[in-house]
Amino acid sequence: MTGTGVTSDIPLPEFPALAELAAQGGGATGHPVLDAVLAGVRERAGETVVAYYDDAP
Amino acid sequence: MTGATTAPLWPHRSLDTSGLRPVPLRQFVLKVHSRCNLACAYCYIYRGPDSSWRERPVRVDARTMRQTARRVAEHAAAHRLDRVRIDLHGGEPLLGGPEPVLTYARTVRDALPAHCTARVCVQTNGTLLTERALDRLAAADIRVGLSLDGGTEALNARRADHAGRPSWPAAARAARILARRGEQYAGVLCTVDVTAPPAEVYASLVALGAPAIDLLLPHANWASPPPAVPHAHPGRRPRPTPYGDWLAEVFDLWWHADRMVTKVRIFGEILTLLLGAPSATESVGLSPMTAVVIDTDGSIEQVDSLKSAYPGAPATGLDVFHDSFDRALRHPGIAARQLGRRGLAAECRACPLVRVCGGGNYAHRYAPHTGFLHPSVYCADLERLVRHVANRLCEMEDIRHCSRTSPH
Repeated sequence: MTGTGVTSDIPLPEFPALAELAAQGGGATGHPVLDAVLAGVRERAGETVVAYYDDAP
Repeated sequence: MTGATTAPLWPHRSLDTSGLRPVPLRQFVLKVHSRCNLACAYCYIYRGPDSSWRERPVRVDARTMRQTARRVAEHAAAHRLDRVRIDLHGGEPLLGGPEPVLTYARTVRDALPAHCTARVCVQTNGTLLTERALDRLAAADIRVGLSLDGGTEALNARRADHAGRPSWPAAARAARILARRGEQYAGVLCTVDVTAPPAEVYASLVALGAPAIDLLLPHANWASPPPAVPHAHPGRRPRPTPYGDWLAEVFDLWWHADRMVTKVRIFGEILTLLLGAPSATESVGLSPMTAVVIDTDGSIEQVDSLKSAYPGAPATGLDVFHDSFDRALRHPGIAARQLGRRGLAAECRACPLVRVCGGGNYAHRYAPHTGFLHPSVYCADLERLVRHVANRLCEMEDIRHCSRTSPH
């Protein structure tokens, strides 16, 4: 099960269509988990986002 | 106060913080009790290289609570913060019963300026939770997070008390009670054990009814690599990826569910970053870290996870009786975590994953002497996971806009 751990210089993909959906509030992909994530992305847009400690819920 | 014994080159001896513009602190992790009734096999506090807990008062006293509250209020007022997070920690914060937790939360809230509210959570192993304690915590608007290794006795075998007795019967009772508590249940923190079947761990946590889960990588670094990972020199290079594989398997179970059964923080944050928004966690992304710990003696510390690096690693030499949190923001260890990409190793800055990975958890970048200017010891695992998540996201994106990111 353990992978080979290949490192790559391939850039990460862009997701313009999904980013656009997120900007509109999401909820339109038919994928329940993704729709929930997209809604969260919109909430975060425009906020000053900071990082919190992992060892807290 | 305990001082650092081996200050590393980065950031302690090479970062000049005088010209930086710090981001105000938003999260205050307040130690209620410095001892624990469990002796977990993998505990980085009581079994790690830092033994400063031995020198701390067992319990925080009223004077330290009041002075900490004043400092939090001072910071909130100076920076016009509209909300802060207060996380009550230990050790086991309920080891002295719920009263000290309630008192500390009330003391801080009473001190805050009118424009600022506090979201308060207590993070517990659950063994001392009762319906009565939860009623009192709920009445005080204190949410509760559990630390578990999974949702069965076998998966929690590493979590035993000092006599070797399993914690699970009491923790399971707490999980059952919390599952009926709705909003009061903040979620479960679970440290990954790659020898445990990922599907079993995930399914058992879902069965507990936790509204949110985080799957935490065991604290490790280049001097003390994680279980199942061999020693290596710091750097980004191909390595086995047992943690990336494990998390990718859980991701697929979560992703392909027919509804969002529970939030999984690490997955949600990676997806959010891939979609172009910033992260709100220290484990991935480039957002400025805004948490400090206040120990039972009033010491202002960096986060406890640094105790896995070297003795004294979280120390700042500051305390709430003499120092403001603005002064703590000038500490190199705290300032370095607010630099984003500028605070990363050259390899990380040049990496195509940097905006998502963000160098990983700061504690996991440590190597003796040179310090924290390295990729994470989990670098290959993080790449495995991030590219896996990106590939799943590609399946949802218009194929015209997206090409796969790796053969994984």
